[in-house]
Amino acid sequence: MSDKREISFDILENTDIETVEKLERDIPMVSEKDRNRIFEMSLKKFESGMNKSIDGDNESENVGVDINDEEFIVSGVEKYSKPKMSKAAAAFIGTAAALAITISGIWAFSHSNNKIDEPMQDSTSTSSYEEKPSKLTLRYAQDRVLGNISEQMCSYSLFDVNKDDVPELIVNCKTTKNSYFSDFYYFNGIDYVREITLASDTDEKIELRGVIKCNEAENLIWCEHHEESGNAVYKMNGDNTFESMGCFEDDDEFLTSREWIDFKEGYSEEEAGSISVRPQEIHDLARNNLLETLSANQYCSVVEYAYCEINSDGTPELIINFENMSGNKFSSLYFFNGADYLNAAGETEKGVISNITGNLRFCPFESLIWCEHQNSGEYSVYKMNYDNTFELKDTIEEPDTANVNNQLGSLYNHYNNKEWINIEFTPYK
Amino acid sequence: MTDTQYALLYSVSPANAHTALFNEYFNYVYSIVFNKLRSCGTKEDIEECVSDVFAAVFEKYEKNGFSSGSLNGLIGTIAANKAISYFRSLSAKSKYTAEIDETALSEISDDELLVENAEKKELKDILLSCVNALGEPDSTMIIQKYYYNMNSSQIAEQHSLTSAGVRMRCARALKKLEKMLSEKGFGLKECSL
Repeated sequence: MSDKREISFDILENTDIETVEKLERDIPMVSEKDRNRIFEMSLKKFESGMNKSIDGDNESENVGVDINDEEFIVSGVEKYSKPKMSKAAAAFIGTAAALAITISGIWAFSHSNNKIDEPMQDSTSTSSYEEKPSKLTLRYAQDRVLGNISEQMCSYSLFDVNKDDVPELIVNCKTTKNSYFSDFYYFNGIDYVREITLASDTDEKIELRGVIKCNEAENLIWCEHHEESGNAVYKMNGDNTFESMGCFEDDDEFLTSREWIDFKEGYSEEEAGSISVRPQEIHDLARNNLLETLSANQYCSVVEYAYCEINSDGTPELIINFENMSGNKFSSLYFFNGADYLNAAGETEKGVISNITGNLRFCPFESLIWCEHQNSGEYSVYKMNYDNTFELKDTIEEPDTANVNNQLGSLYNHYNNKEWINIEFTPYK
Repeated sequence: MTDTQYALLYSVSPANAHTALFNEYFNYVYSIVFNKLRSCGTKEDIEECVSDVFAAVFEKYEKNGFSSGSLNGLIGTIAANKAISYFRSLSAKSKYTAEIDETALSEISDDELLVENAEKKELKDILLSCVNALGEPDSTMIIQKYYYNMNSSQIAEQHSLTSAGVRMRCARALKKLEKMLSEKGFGLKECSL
């Protein structure tokens, strides 16, 4: 072996924390994959430790830190002297053990003969125990849903509909000041999901969205779907399957004779809250940046703005009203990409949407945008998808001036049954 | 990160708090654990110990919260104690004769040991200052090669160099280091114990 190979900075080993800190910057590259793996290991150990504690097993592991002790006791392998047993004591214990085994054997034999006709208990019947997710697992799963949702626009409630000790999640989103809808999520063992499967021949999959109420006594969910008439009621079973109980009129006895919990404001302080995972400041900051940039434009000035939830992703869209040099007002739509508000644009099957500007109205329950493009005189209906992409649903291009009202009427009638809303704007100075 | 920042983050999202703490302190914990286990543990042992440290930190907060102040000290203490525990277990398993570590040595009030300790400390400081004097990226490469025992290709990958380039740079840097140490009255072999 060469001299160079023999060189090793062993002197730095087992060193003081100060030296370790100096060496920290030169830490060998631990790949992202390895780091993630170590993080996952930490979380698993942590959860396992927490579960042990919940089960009342507070014994610390043989290696590690006693976290209940502020001094963090070091443990490990120490010399251990096995206590010696006297020969007489060993002989006595051996005889006693042998006697006990013989007696218990005779008893077991006679006992089993007496009960020979009784069916043997199926040992597997007790193994149907399913491990319940820990509070932390649930919290993580809730975070994954709530993490993308705006505080200002939404609140949430946790309510155990089917009484399986795993709460369901109801997220309430405001569409305007006085209008809101809720989304129902249940925990499928990994995540909180929206899509439910009805236990029917068709295995129909639906999402519970609209005004949601629950009946505690019978595990029922009343969902007033916005796009459908009537009030659908579903029963949630303990195994997270759902049954349709039918659709009812508002004054139907089925609904009026039962007590329903309304989740509009959250049903209790403890298990409901406003969402603060993504603070509103993030949106406000992005909005202010955008408004400042736009204000620098010399051809039009920013007059007012408003948040609006169009595609039900929990992240508010921003509508800004401008006034051009001729004094005409128009609106423009912006969506939040996680950091900034970007002008709504994109490629669709029917062509590129350069921007969604003009007189705008919205149908949040179906994520539709009605847009009157002022420059071209076109009318279009767009759909905003969950992933912030846009689809051009319908349009009147180059309207025939003489016939525009008919064309417009036709387009409007097509979407006439939709609940279009006008936005309340905040003046911008 | 302070305990208050962690608590705030945790109240909003435990997942985000855990991730943030892990990302901020990973290098710190890894270097402490590596420092203790480099001679007796494998890469897997080190990773296992690092994950134990974070699990213990998360659990500590979950059960008792963090006492006010910097998390650095708390995490450093947990990491050091975990690593010592691992060191003992691994040494016992591999019948490795554990060298008495510096912490233990410092408890023995023997004049000779104190002198030896002081000399070692001086050598460590000189070695690190000489390594730093090599400048980047040589100083990092030297530490990675002779302390973290990374091979040339691993170092090359990290520094976007070829393996041959790393070997050449390390050889030159080592010569420089040897010269600097000898000017201060030490040799390279003394650093290898």
